Amino acid sequence: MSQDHKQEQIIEAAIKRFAHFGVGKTTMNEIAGDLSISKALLYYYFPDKNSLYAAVLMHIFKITSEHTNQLLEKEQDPLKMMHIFLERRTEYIIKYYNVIAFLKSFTHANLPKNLEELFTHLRRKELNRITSIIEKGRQQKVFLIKDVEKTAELYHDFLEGYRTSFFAHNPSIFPEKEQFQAILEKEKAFSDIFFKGLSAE
Amino acid sequence: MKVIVKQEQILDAAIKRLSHFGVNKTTLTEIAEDLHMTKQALMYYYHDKQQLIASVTAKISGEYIETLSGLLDKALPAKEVFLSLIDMRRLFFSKYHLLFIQLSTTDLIKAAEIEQIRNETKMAEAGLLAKVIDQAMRKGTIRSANALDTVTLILETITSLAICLGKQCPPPDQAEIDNLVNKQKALVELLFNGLKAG
Repeated sequence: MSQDHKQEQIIEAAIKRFAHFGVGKTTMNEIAGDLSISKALLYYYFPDKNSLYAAVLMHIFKITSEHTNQLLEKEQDPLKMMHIFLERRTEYIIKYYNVIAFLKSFTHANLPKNLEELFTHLRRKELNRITSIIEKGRQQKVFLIKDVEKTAELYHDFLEGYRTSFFAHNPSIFPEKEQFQAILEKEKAFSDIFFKGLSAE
Repeated sequence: MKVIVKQEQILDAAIKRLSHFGVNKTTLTEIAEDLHMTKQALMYYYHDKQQLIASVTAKISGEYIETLSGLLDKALPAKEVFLSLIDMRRLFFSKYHLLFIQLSTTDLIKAAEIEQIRNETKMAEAGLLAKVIDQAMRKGTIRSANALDTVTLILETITSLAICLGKQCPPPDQAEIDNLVNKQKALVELLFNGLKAG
């Protein structure tokens, strides 16, 4: 069996456990047990839980963006593209909530180096996606924008901030699907107003 | 009165966590936090995890037997009762997930109190179902034998199919459960064919 294949199997098994039990409640032992491999072999591929977690996040992001890309290719209207982006984003946040929520257990001070790098990388990628949609709208002369980059950042900041404040006001152990749907609706409404403000007459 | 309300709240919160995370991965502190209370306050109502789990077991087993008894009130033919029982178990499984698996297998929770509730539930379930089989035997649709033995045999065969799935962790996906339920139903059909009088 090739190395890459084994690594992939480990990531798949980890995603399954992380998504259900959360990262904090999953042990390396359990993941090794699921795959009937020795703990030693598991540690050969991933020396600690954080490196496995980083690989899992990367993997989730990869499949998410591949899927989103496929859908976006078929759409020309930048406003609708933004909706597609928001919908896919919500779908994956629901599916992998427990995996992503683990990030909340870190503060800026104790965030491991590899996760910090990954996080910056993923944030960059998400920003790039928003930027490219806005850029498309600019080229089509739908949006009247001078600084695409800055606009994308403003939009992205809203997405981050809104979710945080939503859960601060509606705390819950397991956020329900309905809550995420409610967030998505607000995000879409915001998106429409935001871009309407940027639209040419 | 207030105590009972609080206890119910704690039980519901505990069930929510236990169903998802299972017995080993749930702490009293987490349950207390869900209810915005301290662990100490929670321990005023339930002295330890074992006591809480015993109450949870009693609550769910009560619900199980009540649901079963409601099913029997419909006075369905014996085979239909067992087919419905499979659906009912599936419903409990999806509602309580890991908790349902862990409460029905002995190796995880060894406390005497919980063991006793589990045995009582099994006895009550078998007793209720034996009545159904007994009636079918009197009517002559099923070959005469010891009703309770027949029920035990059917239940054990259904359960044995579920064992391989039950050990899987995290809980199996819907397709796997569908697959199991279909097998269990096919088995019940087969058994009842074999039990036919004549």
